[in-house]
Amino acid sequence: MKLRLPMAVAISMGALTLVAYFIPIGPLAGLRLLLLTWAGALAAVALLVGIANLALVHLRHLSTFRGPWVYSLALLVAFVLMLGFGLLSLIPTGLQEFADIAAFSHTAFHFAFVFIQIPVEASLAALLVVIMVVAGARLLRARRNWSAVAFIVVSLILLLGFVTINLPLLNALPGLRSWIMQAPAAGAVRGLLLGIALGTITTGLRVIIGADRPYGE
Amino acid sequence: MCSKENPDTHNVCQFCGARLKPFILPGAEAIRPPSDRSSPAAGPSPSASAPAESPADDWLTRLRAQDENRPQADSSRPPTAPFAQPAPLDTDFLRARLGDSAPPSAPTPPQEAALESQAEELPDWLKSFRQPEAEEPAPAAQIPDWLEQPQEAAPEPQADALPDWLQSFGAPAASAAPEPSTGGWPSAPTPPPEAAALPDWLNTSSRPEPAAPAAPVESAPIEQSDAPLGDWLNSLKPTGAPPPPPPPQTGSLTFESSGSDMDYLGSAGASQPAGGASTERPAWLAALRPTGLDTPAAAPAPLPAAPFVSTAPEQSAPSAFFADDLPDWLQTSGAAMGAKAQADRMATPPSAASAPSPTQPNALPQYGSTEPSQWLAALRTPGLGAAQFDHDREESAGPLTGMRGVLTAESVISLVGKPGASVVRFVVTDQQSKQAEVFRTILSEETTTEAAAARAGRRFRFTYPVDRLLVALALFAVALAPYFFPALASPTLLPPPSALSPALQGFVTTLGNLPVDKPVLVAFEYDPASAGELNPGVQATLTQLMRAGVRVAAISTRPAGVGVAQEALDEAAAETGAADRYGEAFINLGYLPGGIIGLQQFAAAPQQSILFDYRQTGSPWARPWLNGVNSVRDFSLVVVAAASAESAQAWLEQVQPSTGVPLAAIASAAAEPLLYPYYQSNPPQLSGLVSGWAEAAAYDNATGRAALLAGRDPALALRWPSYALGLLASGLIIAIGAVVSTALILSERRPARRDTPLPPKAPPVVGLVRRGPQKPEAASKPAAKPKKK
Repeated sequence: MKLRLPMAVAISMGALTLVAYFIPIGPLAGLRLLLLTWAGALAAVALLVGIANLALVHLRHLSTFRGPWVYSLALLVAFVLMLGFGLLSLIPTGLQEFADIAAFSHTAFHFAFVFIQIPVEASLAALLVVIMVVAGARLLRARRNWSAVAFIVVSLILLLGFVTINLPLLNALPGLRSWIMQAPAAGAVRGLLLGIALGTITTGLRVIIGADRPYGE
Repeated sequence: MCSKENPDTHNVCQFCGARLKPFILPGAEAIRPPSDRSSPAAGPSPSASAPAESPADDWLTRLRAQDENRPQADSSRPPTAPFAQPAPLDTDFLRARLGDSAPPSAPTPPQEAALESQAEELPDWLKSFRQPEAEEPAPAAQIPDWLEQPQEAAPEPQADALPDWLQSFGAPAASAAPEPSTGGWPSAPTPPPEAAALPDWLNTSSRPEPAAPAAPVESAPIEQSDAPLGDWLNSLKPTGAPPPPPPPQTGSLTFESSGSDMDYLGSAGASQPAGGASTERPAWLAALRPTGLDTPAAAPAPLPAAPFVSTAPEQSAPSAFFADDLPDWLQTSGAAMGAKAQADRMATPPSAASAPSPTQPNALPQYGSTEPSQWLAALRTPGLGAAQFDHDREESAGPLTGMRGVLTAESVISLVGKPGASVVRFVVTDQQSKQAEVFRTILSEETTTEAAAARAGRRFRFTYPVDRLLVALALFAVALAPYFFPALASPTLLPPPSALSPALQGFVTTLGNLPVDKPVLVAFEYDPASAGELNPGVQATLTQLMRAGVRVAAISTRPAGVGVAQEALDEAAAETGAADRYGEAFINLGYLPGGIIGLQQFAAAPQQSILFDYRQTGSPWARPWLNGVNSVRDFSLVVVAAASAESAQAWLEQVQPSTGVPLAAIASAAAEPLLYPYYQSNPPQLSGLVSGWAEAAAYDNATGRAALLAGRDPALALRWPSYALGLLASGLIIAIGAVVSTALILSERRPARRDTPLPPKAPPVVGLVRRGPQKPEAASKPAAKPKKK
């Protein structure tokens, strides 16, 4: 019973959703929508549970001074501040006593997002550029084969193909880049997408018929 | 015999070493009997006597004439027939000799009775030997001519005509005949202890020279024989005297089955079982051996192995010292004895076989010798007898090709039982070794990195990778260069992109044909990290829509995407003068949880998925321009701004097919190949695509927004040259790195390898495992040095 009940629920819900997708009529469509709403709510709760778990883990680190507890302290402070600003900014505008607090919270929340989160993430992406360039320069030291040479040549063509330079040889690079992206790359991706689709269908059918039970033991 | 021509002066063939002239013992003329009886020592082979018809061989001619007068039944049989199979030959010869020398009535009644009483106890194969003996006399054709001669010369085959030693020998020989061990050659021409009892032809063979010790056969104890011995044999028993040293290897003597009359002796010797007591060589035969042959000094040269018999002249060179002095039948007998000695060595344990003995001066293993190599001896399974090996099998492959008596790998592998040695290591190929070395290097680098980090923590060493720092500084400098050197941003050198790809053209067309009364949904599926690449395209799209009066609703399935959407909307609204028209011209629907499930829910019932907008101004669906939206298909267009292809694919697979709403995308350049098939499909699921900043700039130029921005802020016009120079610098650094890496690889390959001597080549691995102690090669190799950073 412990194993059969989850399996029966999963198989029945999966088959029902699949049938309702292809036959969206009457109660089937409503039932499918209901199931999807439940799933979305569960996903939102799962996100909250994940955030709470993250806060508890770092709170435990901070309480025992284990590991890099300074980082845990920074995370918890940022978490509390942003959560507080976010919640305070939701104060209805009708409450005049808290209108200033709500305005300040909204401004602070926007400021933290615009002037802290966006620059930090952009800086990390900029570091990725440097790492990628260095890795490309070192590629032949790590892999001494023709695949590495081809990789470097194609990457140079695509990289320089974005730029329009009025030089004799480099003028042809945008056209060559466009051909590579639309012919060989697109052809290879088509095969990749077909494989992914077949694999997804197979996995879904295995779950529906009970061959795979990711929800149980 | 090679049948090649030789000069008349040669006694031995210069090509094959065969004797060309009949061999005559010293003093043979003096002892040649007047009755022209054949002498075994002077018995030439037919091939050797054919070219030389000397008067001394007239007696042979007469013998042939007498032989032709014999009954047809006997002469019709080929004379070499008994020698076709050596093993039963000995018994046949013995029975034939007994039958001829003594007629069927010759055995005395007690002897017959004894034979009949033993008949029931004999095995079948021995009965098969006895059966023809009882039915008919032994065929005379199986008897050599020189033995038939006394039979023919006798007036009547009576027992009385036999010499005494033969009469005393007949009964024991008959009783000993069933035993294979006694069926060897020594019992055939049994010499008498006294010269007076010998026939004349045998007297001629007993030279007055002192008899050499019969060393080759005295290694086997004579007491082991079950057959009764004659008086003359008993007299040959050792009387307390130390046994002579074992015989030298006589395997170098060439074995020629030339059909000689005396070849039966060689065949008998070849079939002689090992360890049999009947291997005792009589004195008369030992007397025929040249003096000094049995001493170790007489055989100084290494002798080839008897199993590896070769008639090549160079292999028989060590025996040339006495090859001319020995008759052929003795040479063949010696070769057979060498084969027996080799079989004995193969049967002995490897340690005993490989141990040098005083009588074996050539104890060192060498190719073609009888001694197996040490590595071959190591492969021998202990306890494996010689009877389990096929000594006559010739190796057909591998380094032992052409050798016989080699321990076969199959027999070792197929043995069932306790292995002789434990498995030391697996046999790995070079490729596997390289892969293992790479894996070990990776592990060692991990440990060394941790150790280096620990040391850095203690010593406060500066371990920042310099090359990355230089690359970062170079890219930063190049990106800032247009701002300090406007000449680099010249449109003549770096013109802004103006060409529109088909996908971008489709995007422009789709946005240009949108109805004004229907809102457009823009999905922000990217985080602030990708805002630098995607925001230009999104801004261009939003401004175009807002300028056209199309209302925009934003949504995101990423928590951080909501903030990005709000920033983009605010910026576009500020650019178009609609900053204060939130909720009227644009709205942020906020975060959509659930991933692809949330997308399906939103596509089917958006009003149930989103209850409040981002600014918490109430239900967005209460807005007049959103009131009629009950499904995604109620939007005129869905624009997905995605940093990854998966995010765009979620919209393309979960929303577009079920609703049929037109869908366009603004994606990063990395996602372009994955999204292009959706644009190329028929009908296209993707109406248009803007990939990367390059196409966003082209789209800006196409809509005229770029010129507008440049006129408003000249610094904005420098963004594209800065981006283009950064791309050029990146490509140049990668190209330089590839060239330098190639040069370093070539410089590493060239030198030192030739200066260092090559390591000794390992012996070939036999089987799956190596036995014996192995060197820990992998552990002895020094660890690879960690790369300097």
